[in-house]
Amino acid sequence: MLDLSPKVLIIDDYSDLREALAEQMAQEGIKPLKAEGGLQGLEIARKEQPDLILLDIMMPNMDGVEVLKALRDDELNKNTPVVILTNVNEIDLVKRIPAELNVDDYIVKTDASLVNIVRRVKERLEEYKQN
Amino acid sequence: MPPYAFLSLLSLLSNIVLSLMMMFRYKYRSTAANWFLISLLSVTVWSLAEFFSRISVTVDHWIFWDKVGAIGWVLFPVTFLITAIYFTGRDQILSRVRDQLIVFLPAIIFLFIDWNTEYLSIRALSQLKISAWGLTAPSAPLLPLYTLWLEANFLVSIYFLVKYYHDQSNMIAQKQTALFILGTLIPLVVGSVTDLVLPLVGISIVPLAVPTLTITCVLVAYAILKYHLFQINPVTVAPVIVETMNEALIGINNNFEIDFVNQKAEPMLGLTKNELLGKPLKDFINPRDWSSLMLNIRPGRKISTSRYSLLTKKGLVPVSLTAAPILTDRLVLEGVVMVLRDITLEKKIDQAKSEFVLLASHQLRSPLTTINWYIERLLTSNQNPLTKWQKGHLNKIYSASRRMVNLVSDLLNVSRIELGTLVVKKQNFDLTKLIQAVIDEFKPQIKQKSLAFKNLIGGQGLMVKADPKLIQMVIHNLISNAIRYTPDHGLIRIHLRPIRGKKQVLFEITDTGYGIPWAEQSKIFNKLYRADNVKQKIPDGTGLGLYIAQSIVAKSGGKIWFKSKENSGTSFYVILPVIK
Repeated sequence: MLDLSPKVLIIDDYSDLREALAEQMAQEGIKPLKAEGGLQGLEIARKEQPDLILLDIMMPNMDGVEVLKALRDDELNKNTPVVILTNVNEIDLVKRIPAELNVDDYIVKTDASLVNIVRRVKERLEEYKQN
Repeated sequence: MPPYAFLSLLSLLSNIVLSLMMMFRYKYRSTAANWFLISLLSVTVWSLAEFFSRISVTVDHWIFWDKVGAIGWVLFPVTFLITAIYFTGRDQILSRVRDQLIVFLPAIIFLFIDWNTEYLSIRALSQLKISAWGLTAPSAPLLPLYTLWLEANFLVSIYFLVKYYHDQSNMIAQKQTALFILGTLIPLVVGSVTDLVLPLVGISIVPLAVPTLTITCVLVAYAILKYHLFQINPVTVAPVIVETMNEALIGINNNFEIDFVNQKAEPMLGLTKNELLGKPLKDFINPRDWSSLMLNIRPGRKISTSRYSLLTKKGLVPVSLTAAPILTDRLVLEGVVMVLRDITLEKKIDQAKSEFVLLASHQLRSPLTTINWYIERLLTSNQNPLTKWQKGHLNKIYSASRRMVNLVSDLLNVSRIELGTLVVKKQNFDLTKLIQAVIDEFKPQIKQKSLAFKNLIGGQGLMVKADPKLIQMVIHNLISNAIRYTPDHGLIRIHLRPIRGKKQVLFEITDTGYGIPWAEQSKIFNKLYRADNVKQKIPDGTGLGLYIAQSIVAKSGGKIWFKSKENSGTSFYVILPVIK
């Protein structure tokens, strides 16, 4: 049987948060793909071509902004919607992300519940499908 | 050397020693002390002349030194009276010209008579007698008059001093006065008897006025050494206080120019006193603070202390400044007295505190997110359903944890505001849509409290230019307050409309809640302030929300204010700019 559920890639170095989010998504009919860092994330993105990417900003080795730039340079993922999932102390960093990198939404982790995040992800997927 | 000359010499030396002691012992001495010094000087002249006249070998010498001595004995009674006047705090006597004449004129007349006639001292060679003590002359016709004047001066002085002694409750002051009285009384009584009264009735014995003054010197010196006679308590001298205080003191005239500065003002403003005098105050105040300072010194306003920045060569210096207007009876501004304290250090400590709170709140947020998300997983999991009991308890944990998140967010925002690191990213956005989203978020609470909610924001979009994330916080806070502080079944009304030719929008939220007591209305935007009437009813507020809201609105170029009446409700108003 062909799997039609949307694929969402979560790139976050913090495994507890990644797992909780993945669990919630799986329960709500989204297929979660998990990456614990930028390089792994890019690799999975190229291989799986997810419908949407949830991207953390502050990560060791390669931070979210670099990952985003690499995604936009990648022919396969240059149009993939990206939602930034951030910690509040990264807000100033986030505000400096250039507009041409095309971020679809920002979610502050602490302020959002899982249900809320999944709802917003679904909204973006819906919008993207219509376009 | 004749014995009398020796006694005069002794008196001369003791007077010189005492004068030097008075001049150099005290940095702060009273006016009375200065007059007593003059008085001592006249006695010095007197005893000097007395010494030379007694060892004179020619009559011409004797006459010369006798005339010099007259300066001493004419000035002594009057300077002593003035000493007594100042010592007993009767300074106002000498402020009247009439009284000044009464005090000084006789002395001048007596000196004139003595130098030009023989009515006071007889200097005719035929009348002079040589005794074992030296040359002496019989009494002159005007001597009784001089005696009367001298005794009057001394009686008044002693009366003042004795009365002052009685009025003193301080032991030290009493002892000072007692020694001073005793020291002066001895030569006065003895001297006036031997030098004046006895010669008048024809009895000629040794004149003891000058020798007994030695006793005065000894007693006064003792009083100075033991009881600090004539020393002023520097704490009671206004100029000493002004120059010693650790704050800068600046006097401003009604043209707002600097007319007075104390020592501490110099390093604070980075200029010398002479450079500062006459300069306009405006040169030293951060232009941003000027209007607020002017507002603070308006007649009728309560004097308050505020934080301002000074413009100096070294850059901006933060100060705590108290400005008190000098007003006439008709409330016309004559000048301003300003006290300034450098608060650079306090500011640094404040900043360190804010940085600490910022760091601590950041660190708290990550574990809080983990807690919240996993509680949520437990509550919403399809595969591992919980019992009703478990769900109930977990919900309690969840709401407490959410409250903690909000508290930490508030602390974080306050720190950012105070450190000036709150990043404002202005963009055009639809305020109507934003408000609607916030209202939707609160729907469960509105329903739970059975509140009537009138939404008059209208369907049409209203674009404003501000930071949507920050404005969302303001709206969130105002709606949340209205819900929290309105009892069940109350009414909340929200209104949004363009004003001033669509250059601004006015957001208005009115509730029928507990209201803000009149007396506390001025403090409601203060950090950590909560009105008394709601503190008991709803204990878990932080008093940070409105402080944050006000800071954000101010940074957005808007305005926030309210009207409220206790037990009938509150209206909050926010104006935001529409920039196209």
